[in-house]
Parts: sequence; C-alpha cells; structure tokens
Amino acid sequence: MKDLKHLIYFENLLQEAKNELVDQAIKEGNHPLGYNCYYIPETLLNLPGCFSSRLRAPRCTSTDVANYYMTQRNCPYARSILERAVEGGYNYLEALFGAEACSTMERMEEHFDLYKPVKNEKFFTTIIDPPMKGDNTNLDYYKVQLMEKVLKPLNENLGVDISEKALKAAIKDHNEISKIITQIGEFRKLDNPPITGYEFHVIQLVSEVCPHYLIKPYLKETLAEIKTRKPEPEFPFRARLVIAGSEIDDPDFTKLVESCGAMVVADRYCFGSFPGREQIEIREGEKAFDAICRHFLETNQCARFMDGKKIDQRTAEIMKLYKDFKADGVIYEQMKFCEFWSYEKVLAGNILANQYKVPVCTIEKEYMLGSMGQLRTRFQAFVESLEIKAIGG
Amino acid sequence: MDVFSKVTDVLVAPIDYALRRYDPIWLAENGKGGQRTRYNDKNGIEKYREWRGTKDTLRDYVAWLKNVGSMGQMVASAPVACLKGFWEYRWMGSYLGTFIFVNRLFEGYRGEELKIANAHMHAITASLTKKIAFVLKNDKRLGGGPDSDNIIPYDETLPPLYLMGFPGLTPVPLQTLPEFIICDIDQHIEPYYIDVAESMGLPADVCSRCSAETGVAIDDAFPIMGRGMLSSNMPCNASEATSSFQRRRIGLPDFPVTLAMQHQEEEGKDFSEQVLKDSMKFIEDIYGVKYDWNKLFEHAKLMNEQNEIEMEKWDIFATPYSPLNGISETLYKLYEWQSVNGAEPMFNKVDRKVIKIMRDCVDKKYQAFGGRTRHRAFLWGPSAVYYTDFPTWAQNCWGINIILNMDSTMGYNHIDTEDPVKAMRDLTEFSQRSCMRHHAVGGWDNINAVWDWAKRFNCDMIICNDNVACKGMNGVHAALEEQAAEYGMHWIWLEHDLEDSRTVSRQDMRKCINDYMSVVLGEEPLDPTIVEFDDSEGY
Repeated sequence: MKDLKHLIYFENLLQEAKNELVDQAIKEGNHPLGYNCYYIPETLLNLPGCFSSRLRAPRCTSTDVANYYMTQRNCPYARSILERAVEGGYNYLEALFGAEACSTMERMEEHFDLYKPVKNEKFFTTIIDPPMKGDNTNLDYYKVQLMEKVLKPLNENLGVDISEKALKAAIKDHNEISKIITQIGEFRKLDNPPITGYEFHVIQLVSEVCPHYLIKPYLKETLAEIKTRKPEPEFPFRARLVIAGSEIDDPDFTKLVESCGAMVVADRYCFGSFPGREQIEIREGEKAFDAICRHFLETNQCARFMDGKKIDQRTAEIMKLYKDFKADGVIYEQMKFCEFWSYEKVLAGNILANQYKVPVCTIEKEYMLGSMGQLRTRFQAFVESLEIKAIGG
Repeated sequence: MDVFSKVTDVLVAPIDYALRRYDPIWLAENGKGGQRTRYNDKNGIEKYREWRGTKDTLRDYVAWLKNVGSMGQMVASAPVACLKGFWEYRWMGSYLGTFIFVNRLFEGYRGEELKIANAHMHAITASLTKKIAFVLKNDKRLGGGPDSDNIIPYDETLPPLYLMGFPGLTPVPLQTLPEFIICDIDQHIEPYYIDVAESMGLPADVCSRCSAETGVAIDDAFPIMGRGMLSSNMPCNASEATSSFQRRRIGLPDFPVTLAMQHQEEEGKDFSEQVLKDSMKFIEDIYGVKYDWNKLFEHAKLMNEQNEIEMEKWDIFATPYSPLNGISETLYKLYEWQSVNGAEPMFNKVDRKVIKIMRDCVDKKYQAFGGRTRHRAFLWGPSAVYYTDFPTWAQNCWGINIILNMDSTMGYNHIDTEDPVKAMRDLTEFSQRSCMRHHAVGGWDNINAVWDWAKRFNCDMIICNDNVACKGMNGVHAALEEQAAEYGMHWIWLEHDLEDSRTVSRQDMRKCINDYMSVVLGEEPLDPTIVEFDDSEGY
C-alpha cells in the first residue's frame, strides 16, 4: 500500500510526550492535563481551554531512578512514567489526575505529589478512588470522586469552566474525534483492509496524546485518504488477531506482531480504541456530567472490576471483537508485574480457549519492547498454529 | 507473689539448678549452646521439650495437653467428616503440625509472658478446631450437613461483625481454614497450591498468598457451603483478582464487598456504608432472613469490650513492663479480630484474664524475657505467613522485642449498641480498618502513619516487612527509607515472599536482621546457635 501522508508526522509526534502540537496548544493558552488511566475520563480533561495528555514515556531506556523509589519489582509502565517525570519530561503539565486503579499506579502518582518532579508552579495532583463494580452505588461514588477530584480542582486551581455548557462541548469534542477514529478502525473489518494494525495503533495514540483540536484536521484528512486508499492486491497477512490486555502504548509492539504474519484487527487494551472511542450519549433528563460518568463506567473493561456482570462483559466484549473483526485468534497481553491482568489473562484465556474454542496466546511483556526474540518466536508459533488449524478446517 | 508461689519456688529451686543445663537461655548465656541445641538440623524436630524451669515447663506441658484435648474433641465431634476431610483435602494433613508449631512459637517464653501466650494459643486452638469440625460436617463436597445452607462464606479479610445480625446464619471465613492459617503452621503446604496456579499460567511475581488461594480454588480444595458468598476488595489488587477464580470455581452467587480504598475520606465512608448495606440486602434476599439489629448489638457489645481492653493493653505496651508482646500478641489479635470479631464470648474471658495479669505486671515492674530486650520494634507491613515465629526468633537471637504489629492496629472504634443508624456508620469505620489493608492502601498518609505508631509505643526500631510481590509496598521503598533517615529511627527491610518459603527462605529473612544487627549496629547475638541455621525442611 502507498504510505499514509501523515504517518511519519504522527510517528514523530509520538517520540515525546511534549510534542509540537502540545507546545502549540500551550502557547495558545490551553491547560495541559495529564492522566494515565481510563478511569479518568479523557472528556473531562478536554473542557474548553484544556487538553488531555495521556502519559507515555517514549524511548525510555532505563528506569534506574524510579527503581530506587519503587523497586524494580513493580510495573514497568509506572516506573517509566516516574522516570520520565524525574527527567523533566512532563514539566509542561499543569495537573496530573490519577486513579488508585492499582496500587502501583497510585504509588507512582503519589510520587508526583511527594517529590514534586514536575517543575511547573501551577502543577497539582489528585488521585481518585475508582469503583470496582458497575452498579448504581459505585456509579454514585464515581461521580463524587470525579466531581471532587477532577472538576472542582480544575475550576478552583485553573479557573476552568465546568458548566453544563462546557461539559456538553467536551462531549461534542469527544464524539467528533471518536467518530473519526471509529470510522478509520472499521476498515479493519474488511477482508483486505486498506490500513494495517500498526498504522491504526499510531493513529489511535496520537488522538490520545495530542490536543484534539489540533490533531483532528490531520485525522480527518487521513480518514479521507484511507477511504480511497488501494489495499494490497491480496490480504498480505496470514492471520487476523485481537489483542487484549493491559497497557500498550508502543506501536512497535503491534509492528512486531504484524511482522510475524498476523494483522492486529482489534485493540482491546489500555490506550487502545476498545474502549475509548465510543460515542457518549446524553440520555433524556440526564446531565452531561452524569452521562460522562455513566459512559466511562459502563464501557470500562478494566480487569479490576469484581462483579460478575463486569467480568462477563469483559469476555463478551472480546468475543464480539473476535467475531465482528473476523479474527482467527486472540493475544492476551499482560504488562509484567500487573496483578490484575496476570489473573485475567489466565482466567479469560482459559474461558476463551476451552469454552468458546477460540485460539489464544498469552504473553507477558515489558513496557519498552524487550525480549523481542522470545516474543517473535511466540507470535510466529501462534500464527503457524492458526494456519495449521485453518488447513485442518 | 503469693505464699504458695514462694514456697513452691523454694521447693523447685534445686531441681531447676540441677537441670539448668537443659535450659537454652542458660546455655546461651554461658556459651554452652542455645535454642537450636535441642533440634535436629533442617527438619526442626525437637529432641526434647524446652526446659523452662520446673514450674514453667509443667505449665507449658499442661497447656500443650489442653491443645491436644481440643484436637481430640474436634475429631470426636465429627469423626467421619474429619476422616473424609483428611482424605479429600491436602491442607488438612498440615494441621497435624500444630503441636510443633505451638512449641516453636513460644521458645524462650517464661513466667507471665508464657501464661498469657498459653491462654491465647489455647483460645485460638479451641476456636479453630470447633470451626474445622463445623465446616467439615457441613461441607457439601463431603456430603453436607444440617447447617450447610445456613453458613455465609465470606472473604476472610472482611470483618464478620456486621454479619452477626442474621439470625440462624453462621459467617465462616472462606480462606482461613484451607489456606491462611495452615500456612502459619506448615511452610510447605502453600507451594503446592502456588504451583497449581502457576501451572495454569499465573505468573510467579503475583502475591503468593493470592496465588495460593487461586491454587486452592483450581484444586477444588475450598469447602462448599452456604447459598451465596461475599468476596471482598480487601486487602489488595491480587486479592481482588483471585476472587474471580474463587467465584467461578465455587459457583455460588457472589456479592463483592468493595469498600473504599481511600477510606479516611468522608465520601469514602458514605460509599462503604452503602456497600455494606447492599451486601446485607444480598444476604437477606439469598437466604430469606431479616437482619436483626438486637442480635448484632449483642455481639457488638462483646467486640466493644474486646476493644476497650485492647486500648488498655496499648497503654501497657508503651511501658517496659508488658508481658504481652511478640507473636503471642500478634497471632491472638489477628485471630480474635479478624476471625472472631465479637462472635465468641470465650475470647472476652481470655481478655479479662490477660489484662489482669498485665496490670499486675505493671504494678510489679515485671520485665518480660528476663529483661533481655535491647530494642523495641514495631513490625510494619504484611508479615510472612510461613514464618510465624519470626518475632520469637528476633527476641531470642538479638533481643528485638516486637511490641506491636501493623495488623494489630485494626478497627478499634466503639460500635453503637442502641441505634442502628449510628451502628451502621460505626460498623463501616470498623470494617474499613481491616487486616493488611487500612495502612497498606488508600494513599501515602496511611502507610506513613508508621512513625506515629512507633513513637506511641516507644519503639526505637521499625522492621518493615518487604513482601517481594507486594506492589503497593514496593512503591514506597525510597520514601520510607528517607523518612527513617530523617527521624533517626532504625529501619530494617525484612524481605519475604508471604506464603512461598522457596523464594525467600526463613534463613534469608533472618539474614536481613542479622546483617543489620551485626554490620550496622555492631551487636552480638544473645543466642549464637540461632543466628544461622537450616530449618528449610521443617513444618
């Protein structure tokens, strides 16, 4: 296929947290607001005059300083973020909105407050206590947490408008960018898609780390380009895969999978588009804030949810993606030391393989792409097993 | 000291003198041996019981016999069920190590501390054996019994006090018998269950306790009882995650009691209160019973008395004259609070008896452990379950007296016993401050509270349990160390793997202390025979 016009530009935007669009938005007077986890609704950080910046630590090669603070026996994503903060990589931020979604994340975010690594006089940190069930009691608590620890601090510390009108504008912005990303992602359902999993991963990531109003024109143009893009004469991959799991913000991981012969057709992981790019609907009689809270609780697929309904929803969502995107198998990925996904990968992997007879490959990975040789061997073997299965009918 | 005691002391003095060469403390003091002298290497089999002087040895032996009696009563009360239990469950066999376990716990204990330790241990043994018999008799895997459907299985880290208000129902902690207590007794049982979980693909870096629970679930080794179960988000991420396995394998309707992590905040308390109410509604619906506040109040009164006595104990802990400390305090408090929680009046009787002894000790200015204590330590963070007698070793080897343990600071607020609305709020506060949780999650201030606790009990040292797989505690390593330097407090990291003695052995744990005591403080051990020894094959 012909290269996408903006792909290299997008790739370059992913080389630093503080990329040129972030710079531009700050110069134009917008408040840069950091977050790590889906529990913090991106929409609330995109109120007028603000923009969200989902934290990554691209090209992080060492976490020595973070190891001192958190030991090396902890999630490498959390350590990499702390390391990057100590290096000064997030000095542009005016706030970090954290979530005690897991202990490591909470401890890492706590260090932003304890040691003040972000050298920005406006900078402040709050950490929500996110819900673990999808019922109304938990929804109410989620609303309280987001109001007290996100909206009110935004208003009080940075003077951000948190009115109904502003929240509706943020929802409109969310729905616009989500619609573009979803339309691009839908192409992956085609038998011979005009986009690769890697390209989509890059596109999805820039939509999370760049100011929406600045990246949207590029995304729209890319969508138009893909609509007329001529795919390869024949589907160039040997299999189609869904990737499910914890945090993946390195598109080289997707590139690695695809270099082994399997296209990544659906991305159900943190930083992926499932969930993340669904439309927020304001129901009749519902306030915009309530709609945002409900939406993010309902769509959240985090492995920390404990109630049966949410546990079943996780498996059902994977099965839906598997069918809708005509996948041949599922890779369950887990960031090393991630307790929740360690368990989920084993449980869901077994359910999918034994109950639904879906081919599953489970892997554990570092934050930055390490052990490439081992992973490559695993993926190649998995792709071969899928091919053999296909031959066997 | 009463006349009888004085007379008997005189009478036994020649015997004690003649047999002192069997007393490990005398041996250590005189360079002729020590605690390890009477053990076989590796397997830790005792060649003979510890000689503690005539009176204490007799007292200890009688206490030992009482524990044997409780075990006998357990089997006699449910012989068929016990037999089936031994046949069905691997973990049942480990309970045979109880007597070795008890002896090991109280090595070096004499006089008043021994009296209290024996009273505590017997209360635990008597309660636990009754529970085992009750569970096995009603375990549906073993054929069930009359109360099979009247049991509420709940996650063991959830304090059961609020569940006492359901008439005709008995709350039973799900993991305590097949997983938790058994690891206290036998360091070799959990690796089997951990291997079961890991053979399914669970990584080895998750918390070993939760991994073991997962293995028990996969191995179908949880007794099946009740009509619905209460899981919990306490104490940590791995615990939350393993509950999804338990829910699936046990197959009962499940209500996760997800109390607020940030439990010090008012919003968190409101939320937790509603979650508790929701869980009560779940039980009412599943079991078809109505909550009875008067029944709850009866048990709350028992719990309140326990906590009132506990507060008085704390005042005494702050003095040099407490005969209650180390594992005697820790184990009893953990069991009494987490598993009894106002359900068994026997524990109130023991508390009354113990506080009386403690008051007398203060009056007499009694010094526990013969005054051999050199350091007063606060034990912070979740302790290694496979090395229950670590505090005993620390005192015997280096004179480090563990005054209190983090888990001994669990919920101690008063529960209102008249007004259900107030009681509900009190129960919320109480329930949130559960084992391994109220300091370990919910933010920095909770874990950083260690300094206030250490100062309150006049400790000069903090031994911080460093569970190698505990992600939350790993996340504050440097912050705590830097605080220790600022406050000038001795700070020792005690590395362990909670329930997997293969990763960090007991000797590896001892080495953490040995290194600090010898290299940093330059001290000599009280008993050189227990500085370094191999107990890797023992229970």
